[in-house]
Amino acid sequence: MKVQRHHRLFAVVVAVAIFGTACGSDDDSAGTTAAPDAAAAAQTTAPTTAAALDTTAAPDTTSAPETTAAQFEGDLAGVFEIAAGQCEGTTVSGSYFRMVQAGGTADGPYIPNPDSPCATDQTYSLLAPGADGGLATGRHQPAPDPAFDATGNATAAAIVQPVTFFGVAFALATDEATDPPALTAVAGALSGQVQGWTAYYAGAPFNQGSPKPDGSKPGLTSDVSGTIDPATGAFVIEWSSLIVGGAFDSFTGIWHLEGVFQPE
Amino acid sequence: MRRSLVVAAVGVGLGLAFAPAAFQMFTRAPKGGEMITEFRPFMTQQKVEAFRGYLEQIDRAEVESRTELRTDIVGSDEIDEAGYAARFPSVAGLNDAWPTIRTDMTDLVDTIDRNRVNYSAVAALPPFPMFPWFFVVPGLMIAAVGVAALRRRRNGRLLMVLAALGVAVVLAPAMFQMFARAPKGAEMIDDFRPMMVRQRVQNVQGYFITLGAGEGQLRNAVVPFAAELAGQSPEAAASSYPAISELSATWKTIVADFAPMIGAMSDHVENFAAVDALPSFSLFPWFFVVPGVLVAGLAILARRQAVPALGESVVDTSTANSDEIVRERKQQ
Repeated sequence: MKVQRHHRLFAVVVAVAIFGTACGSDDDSAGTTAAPDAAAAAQTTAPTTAAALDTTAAPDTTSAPETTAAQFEGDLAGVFEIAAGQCEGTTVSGSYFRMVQAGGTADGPYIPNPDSPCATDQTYSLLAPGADGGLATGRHQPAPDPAFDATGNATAAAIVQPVTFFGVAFALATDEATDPPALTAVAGALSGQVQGWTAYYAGAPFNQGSPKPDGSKPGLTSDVSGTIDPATGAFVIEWSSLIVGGAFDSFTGIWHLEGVFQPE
Repeated sequence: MRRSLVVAAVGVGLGLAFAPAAFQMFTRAPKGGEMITEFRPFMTQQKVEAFRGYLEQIDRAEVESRTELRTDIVGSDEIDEAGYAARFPSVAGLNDAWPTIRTDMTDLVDTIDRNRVNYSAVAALPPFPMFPWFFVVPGLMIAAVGVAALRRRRNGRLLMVLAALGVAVVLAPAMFQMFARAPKGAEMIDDFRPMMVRQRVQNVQGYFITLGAGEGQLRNAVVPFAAELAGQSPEAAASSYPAISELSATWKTIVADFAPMIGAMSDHVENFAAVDALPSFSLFPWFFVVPGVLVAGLAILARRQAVPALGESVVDTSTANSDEIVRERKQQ
């Protein structure tokens, strides 16, 4: 009799257990499916964010963001494609050039360019991308020979389109007698040299690089500095460079380039 | 006595040889040469006439902008005098500064014009970098021949060579027409001195900016504004102000001519100072004549003292050593 009761109790326990297992199996299986999805989502999102925020995040597990980060980190060989300068009221965006009068400071006084389209502030001379789209690193973009046309306008047009300044066009090139431009990105900060950056104007070349080809940084010449978005390659580069010699001796050019870097 | 004369000639020769070092000619003379070369394109009658033409052209445009264009605009009652100056500051700046610019630039062109002949005379001299060697080479030759004469007992011929060297040094300035050319160089240096200083060059740079900004604003803003007020087309407005239109049409040429001249002035301020620090050009011929005469005179005197009286042997007791003298006397 006791044996029969024990068997019935066992049978009930087993039945409950089986039922319970059967009912709970859906929950367990749901949990098992959800976990990999969350992990996958985490794996997909986290490295992109890391790459966007921290360009030194090398040990990512996914390959695509790692490639993006690597493109805009370290020595950057390619073209810093510039966005054309624009004036909207008092706001100037894109790439431009300004010239500080001899004896001035980085804050001016600036020379007004009567040919500037910036009606509000003609001290801004706007730059538009040339045939190469902008400044190339790791190679030169020399001026053509001759560098001026019959009317005295400079003709180099690889980096930017010639810009009218005081009725005469100036143009930009990188001097082959110097090292080619080199820029490096570290955690979104840009630095390097553009020592061969040369403006051609009024029949003569004017070095506007930083540092100067001899490595010096005279007067208001400042380091090349800027930022680059490690995720998109959007950059801003600035420097200033004293003109040494020639008709504009002791004047200083201020260069502001912005756009998107295109690796080669 | 005779030995002393030769020693003195050697001293003059060494003095001549070391003079360039004393006057820093090795560094200064090439700078002068560089300056002379770079100034060549601007020291022509054609260029001077072109510069005068540009100044006259700017003058006409400035007068027109002030007496006609400005009057037309202000007279339209759209803006008053103060408003004109505020709206067109570069043109107003040109109008204010032009009398000063015209006076200074005219003086600059006059200076260039006045010194074209002087420049040609200086440019016709031997190349400046060779100048120091014109002292060093004959100086060392004189010293070497003099020393050789001191070391030899029979040195009559060497003394003649020494005298000839002295005469050659005397004649060199005449050969290079230095007596005529060097004073012209001195005159040019004196005349250019006020022009070739950093402040004056920076003033001229500033003029260029004032002119460029004024011309650009006339072309891009003021004339179009006048056209708008008069209901004219830009072309019609341009013909209403012919002097301004002429200036705008030739502005590129003006920039192309003036900018290199300003550049040459700016680039050679230090070179000019180096040349100016040399002794006056007028003295240069005498730097050859005086030592040349001295050397020739000393050599001839020494030679005369060596010429024996009839029946006497030529024995120079001052330059021959005692053994040689004894030997000579024994032979007699």
